[in-house]
Amino acid sequence: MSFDKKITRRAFIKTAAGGTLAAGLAAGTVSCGVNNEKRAASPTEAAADIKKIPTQCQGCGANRCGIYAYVKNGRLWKVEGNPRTYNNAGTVCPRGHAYIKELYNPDRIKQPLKRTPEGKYEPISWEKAIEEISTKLNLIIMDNSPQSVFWIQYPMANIPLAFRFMHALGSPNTITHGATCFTARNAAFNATIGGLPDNDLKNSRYIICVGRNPAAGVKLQQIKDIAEAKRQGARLIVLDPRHSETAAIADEWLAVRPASDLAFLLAMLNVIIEEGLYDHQFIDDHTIGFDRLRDEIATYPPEWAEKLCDIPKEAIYRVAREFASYKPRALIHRGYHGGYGAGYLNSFQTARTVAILNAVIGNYERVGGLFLPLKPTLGELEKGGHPAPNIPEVEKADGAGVPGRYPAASYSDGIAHAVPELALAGKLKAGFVYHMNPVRTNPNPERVIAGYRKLELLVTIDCVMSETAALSHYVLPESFFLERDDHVDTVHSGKVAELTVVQQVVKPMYDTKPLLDIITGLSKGLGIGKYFNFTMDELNALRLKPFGVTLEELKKEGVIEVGTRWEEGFKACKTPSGKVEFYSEQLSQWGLDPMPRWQAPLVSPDPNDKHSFRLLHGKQAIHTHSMTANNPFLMQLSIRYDMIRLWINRRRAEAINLKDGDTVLVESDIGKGLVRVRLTEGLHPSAVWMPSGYGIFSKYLTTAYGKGINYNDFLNTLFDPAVGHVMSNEIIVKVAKA
Amino acid sequence: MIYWSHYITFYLFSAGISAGAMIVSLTSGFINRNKYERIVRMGAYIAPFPIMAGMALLIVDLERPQMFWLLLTTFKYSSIMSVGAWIISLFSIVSILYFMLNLPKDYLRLSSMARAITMIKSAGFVLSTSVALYTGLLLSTLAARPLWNTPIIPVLLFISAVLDGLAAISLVLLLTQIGRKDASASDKFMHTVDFMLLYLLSLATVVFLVGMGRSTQSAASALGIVMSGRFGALFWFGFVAAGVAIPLIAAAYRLLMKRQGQWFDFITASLALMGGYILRSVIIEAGQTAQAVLY
Amino acid sequence: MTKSPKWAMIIDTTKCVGCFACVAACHNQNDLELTEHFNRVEEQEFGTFPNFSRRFVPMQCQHCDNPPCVGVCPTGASYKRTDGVVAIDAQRCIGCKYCILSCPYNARTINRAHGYVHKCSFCISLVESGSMPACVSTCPTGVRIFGDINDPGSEVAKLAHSKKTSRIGKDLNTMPSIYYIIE
Repeated sequence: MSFDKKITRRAFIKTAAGGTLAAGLAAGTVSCGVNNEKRAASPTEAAADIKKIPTQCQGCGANRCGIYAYVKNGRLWKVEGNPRTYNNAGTVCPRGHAYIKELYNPDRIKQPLKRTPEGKYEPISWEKAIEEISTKLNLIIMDNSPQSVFWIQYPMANIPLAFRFMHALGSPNTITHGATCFTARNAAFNATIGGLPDNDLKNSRYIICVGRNPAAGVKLQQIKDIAEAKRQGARLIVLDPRHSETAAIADEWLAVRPASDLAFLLAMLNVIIEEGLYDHQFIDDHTIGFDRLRDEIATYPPEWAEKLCDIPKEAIYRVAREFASYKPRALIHRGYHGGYGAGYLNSFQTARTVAILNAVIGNYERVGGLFLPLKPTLGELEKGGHPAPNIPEVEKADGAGVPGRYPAASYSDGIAHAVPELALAGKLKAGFVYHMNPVRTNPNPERVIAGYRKLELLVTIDCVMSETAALSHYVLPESFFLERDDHVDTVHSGKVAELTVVQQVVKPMYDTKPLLDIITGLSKGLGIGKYFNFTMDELNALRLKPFGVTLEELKKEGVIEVGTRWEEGFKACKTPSGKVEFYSEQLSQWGLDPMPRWQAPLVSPDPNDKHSFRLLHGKQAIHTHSMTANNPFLMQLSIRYDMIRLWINRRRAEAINLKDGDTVLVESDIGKGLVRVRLTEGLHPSAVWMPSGYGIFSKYLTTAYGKGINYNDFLNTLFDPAVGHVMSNEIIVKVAKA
Repeated sequence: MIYWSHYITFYLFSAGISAGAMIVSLTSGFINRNKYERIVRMGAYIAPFPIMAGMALLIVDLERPQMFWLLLTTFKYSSIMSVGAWIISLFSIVSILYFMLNLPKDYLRLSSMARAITMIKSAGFVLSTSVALYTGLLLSTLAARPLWNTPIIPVLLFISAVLDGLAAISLVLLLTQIGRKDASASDKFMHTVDFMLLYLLSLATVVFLVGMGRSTQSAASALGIVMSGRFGALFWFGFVAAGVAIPLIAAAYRLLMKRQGQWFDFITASLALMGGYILRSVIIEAGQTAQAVLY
Repeated sequence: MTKSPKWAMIIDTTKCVGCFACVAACHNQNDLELTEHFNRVEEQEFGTFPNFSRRFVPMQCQHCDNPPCVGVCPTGASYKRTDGVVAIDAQRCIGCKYCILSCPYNARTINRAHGYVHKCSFCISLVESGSMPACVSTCPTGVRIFGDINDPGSEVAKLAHSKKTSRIGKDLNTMPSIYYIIE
């Protein structure tokens, strides 16, 4: 970039002023001599008191990018990316910019609330709320068991607090949104390589995204690295039923039939193995089960796959050969939600095949391939004289990780959408919901509401009155992330190990508290106060202890790199064999397919019904889950750009007399709703695609209320047999002009 | 996005009436002052006022009406609006002088100063035609707005302005019944001019439609905005049918059949005025949404 | 003697994923009202299924060298600076909105609270303090390149003078300072 010389303002004005008049006259545009460089462009340019404070973004909960928050004249102004972060490297996504405006959203919860018998909410003091909740919870635990209590939240940096709290109570039921999002992928990579790898996109020469769309399910580092790789000549292939935003910069869009990515991938594997294009040395040294895989995969030639996935066999051959030819600097993106995170009955097998395809070209722990990200080990509370509670020796109520139930599911994620079922069955009696909104983000809201209503005690800790909060007995307002100090975090680690921290940027505007204060308060009344006798600063100081970094230093910089950097070279896998497992004995023991095998989707649209479609969904870059729809700026963008529309293939739409912008009735066996359509050539004809961030029905969320619909309104409660994920794309809907 | 509201439509419409009334008054006076005195006088009486109301609305349409004076302390030849503000200011002064000149009593004591009268009339002619032209040039010089950016727009609005001025004169004469006794000569003159202007307006409309339709893609799509949807009905029924075709047929009928009828005249004059307003309303509103750069 | 800088931008649409980060960053940077925007993203579709593609085209004030908005402004509030920036003197703007309508790029917006027209300034206050405009620094895929077109060694100058770039609305003779890479 050329712009590196620093020009002082005064020098700049001096050099510029001379030429102004001449230029103006030459252009014949200025005749009244008012051209003056010193004029202010806007009144807001006036001198202001500006503070710049590093912290961590919470605009999506997952990426937690390093940012600088700017406060101008006491009011939050803007954010910039912290250039030192591995994660976002100086950039911020639209949600990050806009989410800070939530600080001033009038819909925020301003004090603790208690539900009245009429279903209204009235203010209650913190002391009273904590006391009442503790009393009720003690009774529930006495009448039932500690295991009848659950805690559900997004897996944020502060999730150890939830585990500590629940373990202290004696409950294993700490749950994340994972089963509605990514658990098929995680379980498959765990079974294959013993962990979830990261992608070295920047150095890759051939990148395949299978349903993954980092441009809209924004992960800044990924999209930045893809752009950089492309600049260096890498090819980008996007396999997706929809022409995604990532496809917009791809070299090739493969419009796969929904639910048949597995067929395409099995055929790729077939070509690479049959033609001997794999990395022989890597397979000999670091894998097990290759011979069995070879036999299994022989039955999946591209000639077989093309009929299932609608990608011509020539393209499958070509992509498989190109992919292998770039080995080891080629990769199939490890994926997220789209494609095989929690979408289909065959998602687990699809994710297994992705893991295996990466392995057969030997790209694990190679530059331009997949690698296990560095995770600096944080210091623990125990080292500071705060003993940890024992992990309860009981199974999770949702059956996660329990042989015979959902053996491949993980203990730490659990199965979120099992909660209503368990509540209805009387197995869960009380719950805490922390910054999550299962009523909107879990399938079949009617059933979710019924389940959560059944609970004897429901406490929601959030900043806004979500659908779930609006069902709760108590709503406790947490201070907004810009108003509180929170955990030291290692999420920014990958090829480097980094520490970041959430710190207070502005003073709390309302009667709100940070989570630690809320939990500490509760623990006293619950008789587990001894586990919560520390402050956030003490906790963070202990977390930082192993690195020789002080909290002050970290708060000043926002991001500090610690420890060693990632180096190329295979490391032993955390699988039972210590190797990459093409054949998994463990899966076999659990009664699951030990090797990837074609598996038809659970449901398919009726080819003879021109109104029948599979309902797909996905993110738009400006929205996160259900939490940003109420952001006035982002919702305004949705409306301005007419983004609250159902995508439908133009040819299919015209066959049922639809024009662009028409309103349609979408109907599945459990729900229906009205939405306008976007006719496009960029979508597989068998599916319709719905943006996932809308359909807010909490009347407390005044901006988002009633705008758009949500795929969960159409999705049955389903549990995949391996990990119990939600199978969120196994929905058939009828679409007709309203 | 609509930035200029119907205030601007009314501003252009009223400026057209004022300029048109002055043009008709001066022209008829030039041809035969005695024969057409009621037209000359009524034109002079009308000219100063609509434009003043229009200016008031223009100021109201400014986001900062309190800073209106900046328009009059700046002269920028590259800005049609700046030039127009000056022309309209001068027109207002001259039209008031012309108004007073035509009052029954000679307040200005100019009756003996022939040169001054000629100067006022000459200035009035130049300024009134300039104002009528300005209302179109204000729009047609914007390359960004394909519906406006065509030489036919000033022609269209000029003809329409004179027509509206004539219609206003005719209407007020009918309502007040001033000089009704010896109206036949002036009525015939007005009917003839009316027909000619309506005929020219219909020709200009054809040129506008055909010219735009056969022009660039952006012009064609701009025309599409006018001819269909929200503006379609207004344009076809409000302007083409009610504002041009019906008055034209009526004017022809009057001339050929030598029919008279005050109600008849009243309705055709009202329709012509309404058509003039609708024409400007459609052009102003639709023109703002039309794009030169298509994405 | 080196020439004083003249700012210009390259927008590489082949890299744009339409994420709106630039739109959101701009909104904060300039303290805009809820519905105001200095920049936007246009979307185009090409082809038929499955041979289909999309293009996102970020749009904003083009800082024309022959700016229609400056010409039409009746009070001289809009003006062109020697550093290439088309600026607006809020103290002289009467809010007639003629400039908004004169802009082929629909780049100008009216601040209803204060009644003046405003628009992208290339974040000139950031640029003068040595930073990049907000839309440039936040862009994850490097769509935007900003710099001094008078510096022949700059990337902006090289690209602007190459065959890879073109300017939008050539026939309007506006001579924008933003150069687009379309293919």
